[in-house]
Amino acid sequence: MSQTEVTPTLAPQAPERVFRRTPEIEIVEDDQALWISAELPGVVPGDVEVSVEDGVLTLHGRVRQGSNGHATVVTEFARQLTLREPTRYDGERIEAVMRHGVLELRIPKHERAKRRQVPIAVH
Amino acid sequence: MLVHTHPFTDVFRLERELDRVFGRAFGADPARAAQHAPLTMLPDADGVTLRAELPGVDPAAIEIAVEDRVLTISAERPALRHENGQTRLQERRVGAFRQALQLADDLDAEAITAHAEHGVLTVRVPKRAEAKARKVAVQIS
Repeated sequence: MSQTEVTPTLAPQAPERVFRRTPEIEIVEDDQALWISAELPGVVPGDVEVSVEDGVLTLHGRVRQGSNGHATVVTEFARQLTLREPTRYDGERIEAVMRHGVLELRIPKHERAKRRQVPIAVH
Repeated sequence: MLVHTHPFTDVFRLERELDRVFGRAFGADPARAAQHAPLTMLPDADGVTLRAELPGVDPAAIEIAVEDRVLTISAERPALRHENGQTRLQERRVGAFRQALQLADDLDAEAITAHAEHGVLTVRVPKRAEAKARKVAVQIS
């Protein structure tokens, strides 16, 4: 797991020591949607942000892990994913759930992008 | 060091890293790389706090046992849920997680407490009362 220290943010009262991590993810596609799950251990649901802009999905989560005596230790999870065919997906109807430190996203496909089973008429 | 890791821990960690590096390239079974989760040990004056990341694991599915002064943490990271979909990318580890730690003599195996929340397991192993008292005596002298 890559873990790199970045410059502490300039907060006058409580200095923070921020560690940035790239969450492990899973992406599965089915007929109806794209399912993305991301591991954000320790992150509470209220500290997760998900956005889609110009076909780029951005995940961000933040967790405070207490103090090391000098500063508040913070882990930031961040990842960006570029959707290959963004027009196939409906960014307005993304569903997001946090379950035991895993962010689960469902990005539905537009009707026209869904695979359809064409019934075969039998005569 | 207050808690001695299993002598093979580092070997497993190396193996896990190798799995992570090469597993994707060669399409290895991700379950093979799933033996361990990131585990940190934070010793302090009164004991040790262990922190294991188990994202996606229901707290009820985590087992903690102590036998012959070996603390074992085990859990099953559930297989991911899609049967009809096609996997485009898989980095998450699934399958069994198990880590065994030998408790140092000054730790109190009877007083271990554990708490799991948001995919993080925290286990607290306090020192024995007499071990703490001894430490105070040393500080005074």
